[in-house]
Amino acid sequence: MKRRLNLPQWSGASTGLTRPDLDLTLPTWRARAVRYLLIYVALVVALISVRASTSGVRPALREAQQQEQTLITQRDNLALQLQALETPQRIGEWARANGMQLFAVAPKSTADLTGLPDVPLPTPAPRRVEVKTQWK
Amino acid sequence: MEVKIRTRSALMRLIALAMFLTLVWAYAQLEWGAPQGVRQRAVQARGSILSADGRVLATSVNGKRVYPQGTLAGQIVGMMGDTEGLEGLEAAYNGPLTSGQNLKLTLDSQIQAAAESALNKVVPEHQGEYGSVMVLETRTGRVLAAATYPAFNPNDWRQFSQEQRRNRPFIDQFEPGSTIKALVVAAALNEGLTTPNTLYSTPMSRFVGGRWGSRIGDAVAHPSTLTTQGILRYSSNVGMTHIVEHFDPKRMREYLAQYGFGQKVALPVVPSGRGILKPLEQWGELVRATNAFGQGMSSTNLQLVSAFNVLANDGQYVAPRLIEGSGGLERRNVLRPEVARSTRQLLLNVVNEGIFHAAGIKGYDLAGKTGTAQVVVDGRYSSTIYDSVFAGFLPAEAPRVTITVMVHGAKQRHHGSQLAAPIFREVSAQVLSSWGATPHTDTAP
Repeated sequence: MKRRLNLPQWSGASTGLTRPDLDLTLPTWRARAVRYLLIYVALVVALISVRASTSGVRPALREAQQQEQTLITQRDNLALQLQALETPQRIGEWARANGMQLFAVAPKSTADLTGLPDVPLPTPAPRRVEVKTQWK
Repeated sequence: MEVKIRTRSALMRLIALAMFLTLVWAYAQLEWGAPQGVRQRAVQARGSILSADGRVLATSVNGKRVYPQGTLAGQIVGMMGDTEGLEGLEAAYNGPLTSGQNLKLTLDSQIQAAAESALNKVVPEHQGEYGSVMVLETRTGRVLAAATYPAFNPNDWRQFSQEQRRNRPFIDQFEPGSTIKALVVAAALNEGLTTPNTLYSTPMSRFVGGRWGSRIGDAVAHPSTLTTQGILRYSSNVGMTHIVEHFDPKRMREYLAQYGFGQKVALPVVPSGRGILKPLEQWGELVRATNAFGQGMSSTNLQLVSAFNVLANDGQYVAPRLIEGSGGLERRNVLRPEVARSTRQLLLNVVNEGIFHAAGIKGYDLAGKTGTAQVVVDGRYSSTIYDSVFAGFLPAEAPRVTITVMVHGAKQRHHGSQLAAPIFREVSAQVLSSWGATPHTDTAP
């Protein structure tokens, strides 16, 4: 007996055209539609929930950037203010106004360095070393 | 059909109006400055200008160009317009700055500030019109200070006139007057035409130049005979005419050119004056004599400081430089080292014996020469307007800095020793103090 192979059946084989023998019954289609719909719904839910849960990130980031910008501006302005306040002219004027004068023109006095006070040097405590020699 | 044409023409009118308004808007944008975005970006990306000790002279903050040090080196730094540098280094180095490079100068902010404050203090007391100070590092030719009076603040440059923005030490040309005597004496010593102790007969005036000559006189009363040292000490014009009597005009002119007078200063990009040295054909006896005391020629303060630096730098000319790592290419030997040294001794004596009260500081060796030059007004020497000049260096034995001062148009006490010399002393005091240099033990009280 010739064994029948369980291969997909194609109709119209004699004409040369082949077509798969698809399951086109209503329950199969319905099940498939429901499955796909569920996948879509799940995807939508997932995407919307991700979007909803991260919706705060961008405003927060923008706010942080803005804050950073403000701080940078503030820092630059402070650095600038500092540089403008500590110019050599200002420091010089302040010093002069407070009665300071340049080292080169300041009156200088000289004095001989006096010797160190005549204190006897501390004598180190005598140290006794005992050596035992053993001749072999 | 008629209605249609009317609608179409109205539409065309509307479009034409819109296009015209666009043009007006675009023109207004150009007229009121470049579009905000472009301008801010151009300014923000621009490099900073720094002094040698790291102080920020110009920088960009929040899309604005600012000059935190205010008037410090204002004329040197210059200023920036909307997108381009307009004057000073901002204009000269516009390319590198635009591409974001920083510019490091050789200026020392302390010395620059000292020079500016000395000018600000002394010049108004004498009702001077303007003035400038140059400080050069002797060995390298680095410009440590280039100060101009009156001051200029680039932060609000629109408030200042063109005159006030002028970088005077580099551009202004003046007759250096008697300061040149030191240089001519050095040249004569180098040629073996004189010695420090050669004695000359020096009446108070003398006729020079034969038929086309002129009478040359002295301002300061002095003995009837003077040595070379004495000629410098009393700043005798008559004495100088004797010293250069046998100086070949061609040789003497070459010496002055070697010192840098009448030559372009080898300072890249930055604009600077050239000064005037008369062509050799005009060098008669009179021109030789007047050039020996710094009249009939002119120089900028930058040229004068570079020339005096030859004496300080053992006879070698070093081209000045303003930007770290550029310039300073030109070096040439002008005098023998021993000649430079003996000239320095002569100038030390000038300060110590003649004008110590004005230019000297107790305990330190400062050397220099004053100059008071009449100013040419309408082709004649004015008898009321003077340039007060001083050129010197310190310490005299082994100089580290060369300093020149020029003040124009002082109404009171306009002599070099009364006006320029005290400014030299103030700047020297700051320089010595910043080094913490110890005074001599022999002269210290």
